[in-house]
Amino acid sequence: MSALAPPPPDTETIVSPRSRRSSRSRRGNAGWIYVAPLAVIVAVVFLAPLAVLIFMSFQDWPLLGGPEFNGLDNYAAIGTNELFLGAIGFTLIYTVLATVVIFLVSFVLVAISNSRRRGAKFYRTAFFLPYVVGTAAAALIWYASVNDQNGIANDVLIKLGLTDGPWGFLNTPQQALFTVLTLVVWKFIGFQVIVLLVGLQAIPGELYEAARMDGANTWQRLRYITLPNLRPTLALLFILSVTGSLLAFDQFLVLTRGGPDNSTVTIMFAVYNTAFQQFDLGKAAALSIVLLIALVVLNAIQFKLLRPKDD
Amino acid sequence: MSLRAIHGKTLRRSALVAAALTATALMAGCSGGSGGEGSGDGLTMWVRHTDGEPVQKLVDLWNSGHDTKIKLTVVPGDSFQQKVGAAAGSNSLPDLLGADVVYSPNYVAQGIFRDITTLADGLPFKDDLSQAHQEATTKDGKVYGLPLLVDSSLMIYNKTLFEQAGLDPAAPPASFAEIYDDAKAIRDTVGGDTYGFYFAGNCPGCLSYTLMPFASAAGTPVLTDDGTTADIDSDAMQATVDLYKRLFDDGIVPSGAQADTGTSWAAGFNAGKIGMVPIGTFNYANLGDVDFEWDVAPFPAPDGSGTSTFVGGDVVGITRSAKNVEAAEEFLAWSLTDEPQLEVWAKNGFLTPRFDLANNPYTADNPPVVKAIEGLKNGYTPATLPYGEIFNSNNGPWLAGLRAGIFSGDPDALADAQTKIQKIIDDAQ
Repeated sequence: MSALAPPPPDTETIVSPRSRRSSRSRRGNAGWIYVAPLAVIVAVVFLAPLAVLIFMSFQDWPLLGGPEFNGLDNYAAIGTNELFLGAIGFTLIYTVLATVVIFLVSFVLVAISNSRRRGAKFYRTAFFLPYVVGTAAAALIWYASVNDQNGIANDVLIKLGLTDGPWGFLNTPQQALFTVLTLVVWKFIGFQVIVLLVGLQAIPGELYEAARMDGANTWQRLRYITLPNLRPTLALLFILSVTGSLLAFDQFLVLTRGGPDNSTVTIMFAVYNTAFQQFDLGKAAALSIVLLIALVVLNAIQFKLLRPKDD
Repeated sequence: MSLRAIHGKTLRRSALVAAALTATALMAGCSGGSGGEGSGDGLTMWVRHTDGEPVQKLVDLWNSGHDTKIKLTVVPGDSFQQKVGAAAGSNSLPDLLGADVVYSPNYVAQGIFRDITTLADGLPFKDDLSQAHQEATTKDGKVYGLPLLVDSSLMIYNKTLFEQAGLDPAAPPASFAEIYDDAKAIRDTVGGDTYGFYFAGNCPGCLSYTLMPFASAAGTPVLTDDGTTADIDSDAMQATVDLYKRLFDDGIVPSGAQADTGTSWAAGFNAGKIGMVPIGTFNYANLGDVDFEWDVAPFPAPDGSGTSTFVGGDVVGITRSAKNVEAAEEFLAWSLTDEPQLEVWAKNGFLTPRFDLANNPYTADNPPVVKAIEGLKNGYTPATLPYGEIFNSNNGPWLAGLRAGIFSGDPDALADAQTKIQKIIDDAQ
């Protein structure tokens, strides 16, 4: 957020520059006091752990023992961390797929929920419900459902006649990625739909009326009215989706555990693995710092590109 | 009131509101966790989950006869290391910690446990305690833990299915050739949703527990005694991988074995649908009510020249964050006396950590337990500092190497695993 803009000159208290300056600065002071609680919370919840993380990245800390300073060794070791380097590629693929699929599916669902047909309200609620289930809980539901022997997903497929035996949802890297994508789409689509609906309903109906009267067809209305007005909403959803996918972790820990054969290891999973399987907090902290810098740069680029151009 | 005074009032009120909000927020944030888990009056204890929860029975027995109560927390096996690591980092370990025997050398090296040499040396039956467990908790002559739970891996087989397949139920397989032939016979004769063999193909811990004895039975264990040299690509291990691959490819093992992370390891056998499964004595607790006959056999070397078992289980020690050390030591000494050993372990079909009590009324007429106890003399317990990250990790080189060999038929799988594993061990010394 940008710094507070100075308050406009007060038109009520007039005349003496001295009283005008002091009233403006008093209002400024009141502003700082209102911001103080949030500033303290941000400092405690974000800045302090960040400082600890930076400290950790310069230590050799085997988790079970205590920290020992080791300079830049942890950063140098990133180059040899195969799990992490492989994870970068996979996370990028996953991010692209998840973002594209969620956007496409949400457009379809928005079309269904935006109408005034009967049942639209029901659909809106139904689409949003999965969002309130925690990601780890949802992954557990999926894990139980795709089980070869007693999973309901295989039962349904067999009854529909689509497969003869269990499909093997987590057997190959491709199947595991597909299964995770179904989970992620199911879970996060609701949020996307609601935000898009809000954005759509903020577009004045008169624009559509006018366009219809001018003879614009559905596609032209979509292209010249809907999309430009939705641009800030779409930009926000895009940034959230990309950042969220880059940081994806819960579903991979619970559903695939990075398998089969380390084919679904994301960046955060590699960081977790380094900290809690290899018991090396220092290296994990260094990985986290590198990821943080990458995300800050990425978000800065995205903001620049997606900011509405001022005409 | 003048404008100035109103502004001043607003300022003061804002300051009060802001201060109140900040104080509430901070208090809400800080009221959560506090200090260590050890409390003044009672004791806290963490232990790994085992089917049948024997340690809960042990704690219940202690609580029924002592004033200092123990509060037990059972931790799922695959999050045990993380939980202990996080607690160690924040100095909030429980008073008593029951840890997997394979993790103990690392915990001892990192100073998790307190020195209890005096207590241990004072025990009258010290020499009858499991050697492997004692070695895992001893460093430089000092003792840091005592055996809590002893389990042994072995082959459990379904005698009813053996009969149906025309095999002799009193003659379990004693070599790799016999394992293959017997499993194939069951699959061919009975068929349907009944299979001859099972293994959890995506479970590193299960595969360590059951494959390592094949190698140690052949005289080539996967780790040397001091844990500094690995021997993963031995002939015995390669023969094991080849056997498992053949069993899986020929449909004698259900396809679900490939993705099983251990959750369904015993399910098929306990439902009477698997001819034989390499598993451990911890499964005895689940076989009390089944409607088929079963028995056990030790793991053979590939050519049948020897047998072995993985002697695993838990050790228990007093952690460095413990508050009530005296009561904790009293519990440790009590847990190895006759009453808990017989009433908790032996009565419920578990092995007793005190081997001098192996022949007791409960086990005497329980052949599977008797056979397990006899097999202990060929027992093998691997130990190395980075054991968890190599052998029990889903993303580690042991599981990767086995899966590449069993499911992809990669001929260099074990050699690659050997290089990676030796490197991790070397780095950890």
